[in-house]
Amino acid sequence: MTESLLIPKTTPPIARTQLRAYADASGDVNPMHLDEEFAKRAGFPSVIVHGMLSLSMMAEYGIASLTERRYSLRRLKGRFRKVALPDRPLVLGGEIKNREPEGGVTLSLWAKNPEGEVIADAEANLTPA
Amino acid sequence: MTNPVKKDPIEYNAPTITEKAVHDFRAAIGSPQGAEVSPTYVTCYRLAEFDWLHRLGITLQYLLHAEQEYEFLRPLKIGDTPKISTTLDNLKERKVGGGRLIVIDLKTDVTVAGELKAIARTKFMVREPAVAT
Repeated sequence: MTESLLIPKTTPPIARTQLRAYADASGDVNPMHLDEEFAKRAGFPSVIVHGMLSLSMMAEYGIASLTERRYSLRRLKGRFRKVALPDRPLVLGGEIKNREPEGGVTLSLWAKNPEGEVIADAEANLTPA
Repeated sequence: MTNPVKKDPIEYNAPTITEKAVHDFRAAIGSPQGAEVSPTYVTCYRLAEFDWLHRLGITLQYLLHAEQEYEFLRPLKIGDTPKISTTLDNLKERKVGGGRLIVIDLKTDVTVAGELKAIARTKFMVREPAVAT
């Protein structure tokens, strides 16, 4: 493992109750995440995890991984590659892509399903808080 | 898709950020509790994006959230009452196998007391299948 790799983190399985909680907290009540029949009519095996829930978890993981000092998130850009299904964990990982002389850090972040497939990846730019 | 489409921004005043809302959001994303507003709390301000999708006549069933980008300019704080303004940055449509592929780029400004706090850029993709004849 190189110095730049972040220590991976496996989340608890994302329960449907968490999808409901995230929908209530964020306002994203798209039935794709809450209504089993709607999701199945759309061609999915069940409701799917909010992409932004995965991205939020990745961002918090990235911030928490940098322990040498406090950082503030300045920019986050994520791409959603595959849907994540509920009742399954995500494996969060990343690496430090760049360290700037004035202290800024660029991270590559990813979230994988239990099969090891990337469901989302992101780039995060952080500056010392 | 609805045509012609009004191009003016969709705006609304979001509720004042409360301690409970910050707590509930952190709990929902599995983040340790803290007094600070989590940076990705701005994901709560996507209501106007769905209003845009409605204005464009997009069916949610065929909608995929492809990309999401945030610039965090200044931190949101408990007590802030954000004003949200979402504009249609770009819209592309092409025929694919009898159906349509539509790419929608939306930009959202999150402003508090006239100060720009965050910018969100959302890319949606819509894959409408061919209509059976």
